[in-house]
Amino acid sequence: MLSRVTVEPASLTFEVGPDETMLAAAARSGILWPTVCKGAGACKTCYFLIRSGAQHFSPPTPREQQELMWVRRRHQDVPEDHVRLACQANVSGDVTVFCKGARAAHA
Amino acid sequence: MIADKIDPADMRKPASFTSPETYLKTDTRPVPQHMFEESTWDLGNEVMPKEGYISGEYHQLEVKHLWKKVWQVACRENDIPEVGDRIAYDVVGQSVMVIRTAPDTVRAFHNTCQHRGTRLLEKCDNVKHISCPFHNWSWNLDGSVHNIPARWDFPGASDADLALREVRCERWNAFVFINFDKDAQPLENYLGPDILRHWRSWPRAHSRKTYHFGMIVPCNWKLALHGFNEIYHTVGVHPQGLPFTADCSAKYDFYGLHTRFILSLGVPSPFIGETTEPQDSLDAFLSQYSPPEAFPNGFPQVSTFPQARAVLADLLRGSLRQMTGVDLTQKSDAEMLDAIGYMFFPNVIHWGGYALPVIHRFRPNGNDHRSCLWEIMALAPYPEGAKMERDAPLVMLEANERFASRPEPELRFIGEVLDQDVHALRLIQQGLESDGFSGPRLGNYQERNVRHFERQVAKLVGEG
Ligand code: FES
Ligand code: FES
Ligand SMILES: [Fe+2]
Repeated sequence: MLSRVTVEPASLTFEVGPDETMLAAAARSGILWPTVCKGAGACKTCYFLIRSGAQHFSPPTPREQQELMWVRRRHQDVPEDHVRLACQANVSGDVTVFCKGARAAHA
Repeated sequence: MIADKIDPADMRKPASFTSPETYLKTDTRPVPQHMFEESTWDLGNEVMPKEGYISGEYHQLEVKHLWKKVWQVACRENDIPEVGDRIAYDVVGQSVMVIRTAPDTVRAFHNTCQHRGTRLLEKCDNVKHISCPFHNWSWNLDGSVHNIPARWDFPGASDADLALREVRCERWNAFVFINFDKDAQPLENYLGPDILRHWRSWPRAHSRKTYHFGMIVPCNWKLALHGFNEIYHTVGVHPQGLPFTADCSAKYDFYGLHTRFILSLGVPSPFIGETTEPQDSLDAFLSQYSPPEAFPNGFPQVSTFPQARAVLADLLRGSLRQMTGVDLTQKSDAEMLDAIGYMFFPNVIHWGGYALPVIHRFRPNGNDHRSCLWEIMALAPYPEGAKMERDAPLVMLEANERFASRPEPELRFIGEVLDQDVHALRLIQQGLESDGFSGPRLGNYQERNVRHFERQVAKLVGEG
């Protein structure tokens, strides 16, 4: 089952498979997503905010929780569990997220 | 393009990186020429020895050949603005009392009584005479004997024998430096002509220390210093800064014993350059460093990076003017915004320009080479003639205290960044002592200030 991800504010959409991270799926679909550690779960630059469909996300691992500590402090206006790392989260269901840096790769 | 011509090493960065010089050239004001200067070279790629961080013997060599030979910042002049004000500076088991003996004279003495060696001054105070709490020996502010109770009982000693022992003391830019070595070269020679020339751009004499925090950090003092002398760690330690920190584009220069880096801000890290627009840089910068209430109608809109830098620089000019009344209209965007870090060998990093004239100082924790005292202070410029309050005194934080949870408003925006630095420094000593680690592998370009520093230390220590 593929899930559809909509990304604000650039209004991009792409599809994610069940065993794929959002970061990997975005890259596969030609979307530039901020990353420094290339998915090692260390740099936190891939983080996004959940706008809808929170129930469709896999729960964060303790490691992701720990990495998210710093990021959450900067986004106290959204519920704690609405801040996630794209290289760690899996989804099963359609969702909308906010990631400022996500862009369509230049043709 | 200057930027390409003066590229110091092929491995400095891929061609797509923008160098600081490029941003300097788009500045809205003239930038000091020395910021374009380059004084750097390839120091090689050798793995460094780790003895200097883990060996007690090495520490003893450092005490003898480094700490007792170098000029070091003891305090700011405005720590002791009034005649009779004095402050203690402690390093590697030695203590020095720095005292203002006349409105324009500052002197330094070993902080020890010539009777039986009692420490004379604990921290800081104001006195008419220097005296010892044990048997009440006392001295004039210039260190000469004032009174010795039962003087007849010390017939073997002349007054000169009983005078306080003086320590070399010279001043520059309202920093009070001391040197334990009587034969040391004058301070100005030690700093060198380049440093003196560069700093004419940023006089610090009429600046007040607005905060001063200290913390004992469980690592060798040099490891803590290095943590503030390379920008490479932004990716690991301060990722929130990447949208407005051109980390790998930073420029590193050597000046004798000393070093400098220039880091452009308001422009993104090359790591995420492709996904960061000028507006993103500005938004990220302002959400990190300003209170939400400052921009009720949202952040200013920009469409180019030079514009983002100009807008941020202007906001900083405005807030400094509001805070201190000083007029920085003529100062370039780069001087208002960028991180320009000078390392005054061996243990102070002071930021040039006006963005955040912060001062870091590092020392071994007494004679423990496995922990250190790290202090952070900041200066605020004052207009000529305006009366400055005395400098803020040192406030020590507990070992596990977080800067971000302190009540001081000065820490509101930088507390989190400092906590991130401390978090990394808490882990380094232990890992470095592991048998599985043979020695630091420093980046050729981004960590060459660290390599340069270690070479200078090794040279001094090797002189034994
Ligand atoms: S890509 Fe670095 S934390 Fe996700
Ligand atoms: S990555 Fe730099 S110390 Fe480990
Ligand atoms: Fe840092």
